[in-house]
Amino acid sequence: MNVTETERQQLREAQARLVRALSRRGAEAPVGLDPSRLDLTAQLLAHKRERIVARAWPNLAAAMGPAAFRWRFDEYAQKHPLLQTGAQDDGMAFMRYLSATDVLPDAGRLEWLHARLRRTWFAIAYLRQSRKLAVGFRLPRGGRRIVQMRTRLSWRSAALSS
Amino acid sequence: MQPKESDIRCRLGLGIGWRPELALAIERRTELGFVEVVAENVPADGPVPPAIEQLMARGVKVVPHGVSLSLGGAEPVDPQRLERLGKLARRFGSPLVSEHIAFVRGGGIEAGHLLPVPRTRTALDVLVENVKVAMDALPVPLALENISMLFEWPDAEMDEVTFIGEALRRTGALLLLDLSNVHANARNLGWDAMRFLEALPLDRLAYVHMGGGVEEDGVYQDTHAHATPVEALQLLEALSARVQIPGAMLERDDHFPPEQELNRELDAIASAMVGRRQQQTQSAGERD
Repeated sequence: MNVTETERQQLREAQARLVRALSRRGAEAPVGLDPSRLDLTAQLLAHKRERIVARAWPNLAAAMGPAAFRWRFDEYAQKHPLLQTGAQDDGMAFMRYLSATDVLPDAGRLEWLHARLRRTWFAIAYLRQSRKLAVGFRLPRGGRRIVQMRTRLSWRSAALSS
Repeated sequence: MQPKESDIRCRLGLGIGWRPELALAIERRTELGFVEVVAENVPADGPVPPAIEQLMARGVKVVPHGVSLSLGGAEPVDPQRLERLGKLARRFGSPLVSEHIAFVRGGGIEAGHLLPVPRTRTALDVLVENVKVAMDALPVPLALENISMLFEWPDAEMDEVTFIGEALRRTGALLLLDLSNVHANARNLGWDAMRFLEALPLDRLAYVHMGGGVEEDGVYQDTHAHATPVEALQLLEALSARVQIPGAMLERDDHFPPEQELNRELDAIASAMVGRRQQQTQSAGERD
C-alpha cells in the first residue's frame, strides 16, 4: 500500500491550508469544512496560544492586565504565525513586538531579563517607565541577580528639581 | 530495538498528568501508580527534575506523552523529535510512551493544537507509515491517543473508530483511550459514544485519559481546565465492564483546583475504573 507522491502532496497541501486558515483570520480554508466550527477552533487556538504565553510570563501579563494583554497578543499573533511551539520563544517574540512600539511594561522587561540570564551570564535592559537600568548577572552556582540603577538622566532631572 | 506487538500491557493503576502546579498534591497522593509527563516540557538532558525523581524512587511509573510528532502529518516524522522521546523513555524507565492520531503542523506553521487527520485510505497509509517508523525507533511500546475535534474533513472514506482500529491493527501500536474526547466528539459531531467504545480494539488498551471541559456556545470544549464530565465517568465505568483497565488518569492543564477537589476527581476515576460490579463484590465481601 504505497502512497504516491501526488497523493502525499495533496494531503500536504490540504493540511497546510487548514493550519493557515486556523492561525490567520481571512486565510482561505479547505473546501468542505464547517466554517463556523473552523472559526471556533481558530478562536480556541488563539486563546490557547495566549494562555500559554501568559502563564509562562505572569509578571508581563499582570502588568498589562488581561484586556490589554489579550488584544495586543491577538494583534501580535495575527502578524506572527507560530513557527515554533513553546511559551519561551513565543513570549520573547511577543515582548520584542511590544518593545518595538514602546508598550512593553517594566515588569515584562525584567521578566525577559531574568529569562535571558538562563542562557547568558550577563545582560542589561533599560526600564523605560521607571527610567532605571537593570543589570543582570548569573552567579557561579546558578542563581540570578538583577540590580536596578538610576541612570544619569534621572540624576540630572533630580538635580534640576531640587 | 524492535518493540514487540504488545500484549505486555503494563499494570499502571491510577494516574495523573504531572504539572508543576500540582506537584505537591501529586506527591501527597501516595497510591498513584503512574504519572504522565508532556515530553516537550521535561528535560532530556541534565538532572532529572527532583519531583519526578522522587516519584520514580517510590515506584511511580512515568510515561512520556508527546504532542509534537505529528504522526498524522504528510511529512515524515522528525528523527530528532523521535530520538528525544525515546531518550525520555530510557531516562525515566518508562514502560511505554504515547502520542496522538493527529497532525500539528503544515505549510511551515505550527498549529499549536492537535488537528484531525482526513479519514482517507491515503491519510491512513501515511499515518501507518509514520507510526511504524516511530515504533522501530522507540525502545518501548507506543500508545496512540484518539483526539477531540470540532469539525470533520469532507469526503471521509470511513468513520473514526474504523480509522483508529485499522491504524492500530496495521501497526501493532497500543491504544490510549481518551474518554473525554469520545464524549466531546459524541456531543459535537453527533456520534454514538457507546458504539464507538464497543467497536474499538479494547484488547490494545494501554491506559485511559480523563479530562474536564465545559459547554459553551452550544459546543463542548475539552479545556482540561474544568471538572471531568459525568458522561466521561460513565463511559469509564461502562468500559470497566468490558475490559480490565490497566490504567486511568486525570488530565488537568489550567485553572488548577484546590487539592481537595483534585482528590475528589481522582477518587471518582479510581472508583469508575474498577466498575460498579467490582465495588458491589467488594462491599458484599465486607458485609459477610
